[in-house]
Amino acid sequence: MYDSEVQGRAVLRPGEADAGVIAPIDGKSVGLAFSVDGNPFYGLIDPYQGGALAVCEAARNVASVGAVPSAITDCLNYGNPEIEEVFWEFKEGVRGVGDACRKIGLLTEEGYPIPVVSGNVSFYNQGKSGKAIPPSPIIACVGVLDDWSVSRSIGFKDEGDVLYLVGEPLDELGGGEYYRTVLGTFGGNVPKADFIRERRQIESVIEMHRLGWIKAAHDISSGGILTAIAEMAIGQDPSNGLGFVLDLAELAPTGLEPEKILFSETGAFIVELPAGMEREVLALCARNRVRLYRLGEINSFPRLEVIDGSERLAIWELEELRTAYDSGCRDIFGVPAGR
Amino acid sequence: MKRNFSRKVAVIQFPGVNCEYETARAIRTVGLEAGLFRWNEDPAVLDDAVAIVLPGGFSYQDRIRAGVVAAKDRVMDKVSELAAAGMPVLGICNGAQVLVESGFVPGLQWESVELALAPNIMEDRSGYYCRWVYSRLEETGTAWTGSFSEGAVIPIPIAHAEGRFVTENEKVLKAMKENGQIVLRYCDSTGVVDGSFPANPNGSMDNIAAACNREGNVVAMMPHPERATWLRQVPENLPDEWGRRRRKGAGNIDLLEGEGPGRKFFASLLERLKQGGVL
Amino acid sequence: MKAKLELWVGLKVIDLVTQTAWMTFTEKLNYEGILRGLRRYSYFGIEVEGEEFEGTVEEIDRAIQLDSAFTNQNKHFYRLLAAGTDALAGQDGRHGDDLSLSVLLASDSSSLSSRGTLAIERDYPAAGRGERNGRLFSFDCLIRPSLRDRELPYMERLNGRLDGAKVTDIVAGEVWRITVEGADIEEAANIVDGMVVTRSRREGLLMNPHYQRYEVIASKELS
Repeated sequence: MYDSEVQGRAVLRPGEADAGVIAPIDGKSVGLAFSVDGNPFYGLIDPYQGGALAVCEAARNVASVGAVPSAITDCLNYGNPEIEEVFWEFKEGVRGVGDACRKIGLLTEEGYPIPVVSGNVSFYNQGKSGKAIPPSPIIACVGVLDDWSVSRSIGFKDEGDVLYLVGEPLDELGGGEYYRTVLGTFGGNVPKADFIRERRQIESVIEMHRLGWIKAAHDISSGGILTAIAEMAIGQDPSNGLGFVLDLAELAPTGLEPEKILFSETGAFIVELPAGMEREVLALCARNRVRLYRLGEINSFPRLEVIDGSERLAIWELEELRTAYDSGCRDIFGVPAGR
Repeated sequence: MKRNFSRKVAVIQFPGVNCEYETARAIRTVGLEAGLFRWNEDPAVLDDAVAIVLPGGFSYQDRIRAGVVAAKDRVMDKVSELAAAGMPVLGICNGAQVLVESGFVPGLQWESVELALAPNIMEDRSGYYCRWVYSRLEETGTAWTGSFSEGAVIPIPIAHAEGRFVTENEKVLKAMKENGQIVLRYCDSTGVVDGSFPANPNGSMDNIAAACNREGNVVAMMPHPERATWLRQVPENLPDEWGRRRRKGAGNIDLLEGEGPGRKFFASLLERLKQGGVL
Repeated sequence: MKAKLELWVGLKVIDLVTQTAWMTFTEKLNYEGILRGLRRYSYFGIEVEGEEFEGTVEEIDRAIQLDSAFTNQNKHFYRLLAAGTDALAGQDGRHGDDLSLSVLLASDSSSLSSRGTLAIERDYPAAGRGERNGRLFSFDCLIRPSLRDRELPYMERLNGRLDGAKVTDIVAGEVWRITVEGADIEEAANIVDGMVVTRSRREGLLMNPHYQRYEVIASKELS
């Protein structure tokens, strides 16, 4: 744990949203958003996608709070580059980072890439056996906000608000949380970074923020749609006791099986908007050529439920989810020794 | 050139503190003037100040023990003299550690060290802890709390590794209670003083979050009022009126730059200074 | 087999905490000319059970090297001693002065075992600077938390890294070796007590008696 409030500039702290936000200048509305992300499992399957997806996710994170992804810095962690395969992993990772920066590009300057303003490379990361770590590019992204007051936490806000999925799950669960922790396998079909899609989605979410529509936003990453919605439920004011019923019938047009819908990690966003905005949001997404699914309304029952039409697939009490979320590290690592 | 602290609140800048600028800004939000005093300046200039604030951070890098080296500093001779004469003094976090190690709080015997701010005791964790907590206002009679209503429940952040008020001497705690020297107690969001974690976030005896000297002009508080001075600093998911207010303020900078739950500590000072004819 | 071990850990680099303590004592608390030497070590008193002595020491040595809660090879030197060890044994004599007074004073000086090396270090500043009037006495003051449960996590940590051996008790604290000038050892002990226990803003520095305790684990006159 570290001091996330020193200087008194905090608007959103780590954990409150996909990115931290500060208001750096007195009397000015300009805000800065920061995010650091990376997922070694994608790189293990496909080092190019590992690099590209790390940039996509970091950019998505700052867009979640309404900020324009404006620069990245990288931290590239690989094994011994004297080994040809490892050097190839590194090369592919860098190519992925570069492609993502060029093809997502600066939203504010057409044709310009997102600048990589600094970075570091760490080689020779290997165990005693000589086995290299998975290719692990870590990307930090800085986003700029015209107005920090639009940035919201990921938590549910009000009963009756509507959750939308901006984007669409695809059948690409390789390296994902569901395969690894539930099925105990890696798979090979890693998500494919689609830079045009990412850019359009990011633009759409930022636009919704600027219009003042968004009451909460969270990006889809590890654990897919179901995990994202659970995190939004956990992040709310605990005295509100809001819940959600996710009806897979709403996502039937994807043509995917239930577990693929729930756990696909294809880059996307979930946004919470006030009721009655269906027409506006649909028009905005159509104009930006972005897929949109209306997932349903936030209710006042403190639980998360998954149904498929009339059939209930799963149900969790909010308290259960919160306990599981808070105790993850403790359960794995135990209680730290203190000084 | 000697600096002028006339009509100003002096924020003491020891080497290693890191909350002095926002503390000065927070003081200014209520219409007071504030200036930074570097620890090795001539302490005599503090005679003109209207109040003194020791901000948070890591004075002398917390060497030996948080607050103890600053407590021995030359400027603290002057602070001792002014505090004993009734000048309002507030220590926030590391500043509170300095005041306790200086023996100004509880100050039953002036300058005698009667308390410690010991390492936190928490459930399932140890060391540094940075989080929003709740505190209940127990004393409105101090120089820094007069604008609150008695029993007010104040959400406010803490950020420390050594914030557990403790004493070996039971008589000290007894006297503090009798004299009304316990200013803030940690509580839950409804104001119930619960001794267990997380309501009591650091194992502090009697849930003490802030304490004062007998006269109430010197207050040592572990929570950070300057991190709760603007509404935008409040987390959106606080389960109380402040959380609701914060959520309603979304999209409205003027509202979000408005008052947060901790600003009244500084407003109280202004009120006290006006009452006393100092300003 | 049961054994008592002592782990002393010092900094390879200049110890800024000790420097600050020295300056506070001499410039702010009037110990100029009285304080003649100051050093600081992390200290662990370890009670351990194991099959046989050498292997047990070996295991503890490996564990403390691996765990940065005890030692970080980049910045620390350390000495692992069996209680009752003559710490000079096996050394070239150069660093004889660097070793635990308690060890030096131990009645049983039969050579048992010691691991690691205390690298060259200096008092801050060098003891004996300036004119000396009285005799010099050195005290090893062990400062510990008052609460036992602040020390026990170190035992759990060690046991998590041990296979055959098992730590059954641990003392974890900081030793300040304070060298002062005095007429006799009683006077010197009083001076040291006044330096260690923070009683007021103007008295004492190294521990706060409301949550810490201290004991002199060794003392001796220096020639």
